[in-house]
Parts: sequence; structure tokens; C-alpha cells
Amino acid sequence: MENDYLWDKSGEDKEIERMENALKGFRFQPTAPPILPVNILQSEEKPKFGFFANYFKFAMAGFACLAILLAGFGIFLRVSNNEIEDVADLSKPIVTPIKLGNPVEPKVIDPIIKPPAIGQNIVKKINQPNPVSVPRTTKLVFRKTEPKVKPMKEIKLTTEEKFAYEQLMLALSITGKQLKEVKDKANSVEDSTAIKSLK
Amino acid sequence: MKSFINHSFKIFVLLLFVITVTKAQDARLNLDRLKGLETKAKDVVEVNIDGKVLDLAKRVMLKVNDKDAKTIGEAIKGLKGIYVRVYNFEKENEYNLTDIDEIRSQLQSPDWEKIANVRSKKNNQKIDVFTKFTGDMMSGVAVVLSESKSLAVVNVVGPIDIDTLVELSGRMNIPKIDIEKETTKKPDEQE
Repeated sequence: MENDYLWDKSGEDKEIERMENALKGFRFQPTAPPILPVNILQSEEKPKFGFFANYFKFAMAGFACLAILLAGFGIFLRVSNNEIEDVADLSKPIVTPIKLGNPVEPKVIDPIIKPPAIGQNIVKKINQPNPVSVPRTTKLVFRKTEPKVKPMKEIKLTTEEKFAYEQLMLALSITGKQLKEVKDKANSVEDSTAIKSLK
Repeated sequence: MKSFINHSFKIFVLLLFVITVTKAQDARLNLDRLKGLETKAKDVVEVNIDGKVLDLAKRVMLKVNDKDAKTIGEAIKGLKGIYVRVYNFEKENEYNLTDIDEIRSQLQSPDWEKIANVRSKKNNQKIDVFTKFTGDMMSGVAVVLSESKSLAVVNVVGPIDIDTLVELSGRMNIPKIDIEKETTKKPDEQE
């Protein structure tokens, strides 16, 4: 190589020129690109508010996590509250005693139960005249909706007690029935006498 | 001297109590005559409740958290005993009238007062209701019912609120037992 013909075509180099001429048929010629047999699918455009969309997704996920956490916490409190109620001292009556013959239903004191602190096993019951008026922002307040009154079927009786009770009830039932029959007959006789006297 | 008076007073009160109890027990009728009917009758109901069993039943009544039960409990607060006999027969006149007349004759004493008397030609029904008073206090009730096919005697010893009993009969926890079909069994028999 006598000059830089190979690099910048300055000067002469017959051997290289001969090779160029020999390979001239393969030289690059600018032509239109070939048509492909398939359609080209263009990718979708990215949304203009991509940043806000991503932020919204994060916020939604955060809210969902928070909601699940709160629900779980609420269930935990509720369950622990019930457990404590079961082991609580039930010797004190929840239902206030009423006088016999009073047609008013038994007045039940609304037990307001504060959520117990962690590790605390004592539930305080506070009698408040209007617990609804307690501001919600102050504390979480759980109210038991149903009074804890033992239904009659749950009373456990011994065999002797059951026998005695049934015998007494049977005797009273028969006595009441006989006396009622007499009373009804007496009333019917009085009515018929009254009708006859009117006639 | 004071202790002697005190002791005398205590003995007097005790005697008074015993006399009162004895008087109250006088309201109990002798129902042994009806025992012979057990073999003849189709259905028999026999209830004898007094003493410890009655106290037990009263305690159960207090346990029951029900308004009507408490009302009944009040009505039978002073009850000392209740004795019931019910006999149902398949055919008419299977029992002897003298059996029931013997019961009625016990109630002819001046202590007993007849407060109701029902006579009906239908089934030859006769119902008599007697009460007994010790002073101002009711000490007994007796109901004697005789029909052509059935016989029933109820003897209540001690005070009882009849109106409440009539009002509450068949209600709430008083078992609605069909007397014609059911028979009572003692716990020994059940086991």
C-alpha cells in the first residue's frame, strides 16, 4: 500500500481499483424497502397521565390494606371481648328486678364495654343514660345489642326437680281446669237466667 | 323469772304453730277409698305433692324466669299440699257411687263450705267445690267431679289464689296434658 486510497481514496492503488471494479455488481444501490407479507402492529400510546394512574393504583392498594387491617382488628377486639364476657363475674344480675304484675318488659341496662387494652383482662361496664350521644371520635365503644337473659329452656334441672315441677304443674293444671269448668257453667247459668228474666 | 316467761312464751308460740299446721292439715281428705278404682279405670291420674317435693317445685318455680311462673309462684306461696285423683272409665257406671259419696260426706263437716255446685243431666255431671277457712285464712279447697264415665277429686291443702289459678290454667308452662290419655309415672317407675 503506497498511499491511503483504501481509506480515503486519495492517490492511486491499481490493485484495489481492479478489485473494486470486479466487485462493482455487488455495490449498494439505494432502492425502496421490500414489502413485508404481514401487517405491522403499532404499539399503544402510553397514557398522558401515567404518573397519576400509578399513584391511584398505589393509593387503592393502600386503602385496601388499611381496610383489611381495620376489619381484622375489629374482629379480634370483638372475639376477645366475647371471651372476656364469658369469664366475667355473672353473679351480678344484668336484668333489673321488676315487681310482679308489672306489665312493663324487664328493663335491661345497656352494657357499654370499652375495648380492652392489650394484656388487660378486665372489662368495665358503664351505665350511661344515652350512650348514642358519645362522640365517635373519642373512643371506640362496643355495645351489646341483646340482653344477656337466660331463656327458660336453658335452665338445668335435676331429675327430682323436674319431677316435682311437672307433678305440681300437672296438679295445678287439673285443679285449674276443674275450677274453670265450674266457673264457666256458673257464668252460663247466670246468663241464661238473665235472658229468661228479660223475656 | 324472766327466762321462765320467755320459755313459756316460746312454747306457747310453738304450740300455736303446731295447732295451726294441724288445722291446716285437717283440710286433707282421705282418698284411700278410691284406690280400688285403679284396676277398673281405663286411665288413672294420681298426683300427691307435699312436703319436700312441693318445696322443691316451689324453688324450681322461682328459678324459672317467666312472669306467669312468678304469678303462679305467688298464688301457691302458702300451699302445703295438693292431691289429685282422676279416673276415666270405658263404660258408664263402672264405679260405685258410694265411693264418691264417701268423699262428699267428708266435706259435710261445718269446717267445709260449699261455694259452687253444678248439676247437669248431660253425662250425669256433678261438680262440687268446697273451701275451708281457718280464721280468716283459707286452709283448703276441694273439688269433686263425677260423671257417668269419669271421676275426679282435687284436694288442695293450704291457701291458694283460685282466681289466678283459673286464669292461668292451660297457659304457659302448665303442661297441657290430656287427662284421658296420659298417665303420670313416678321417677322410680321411669327408671
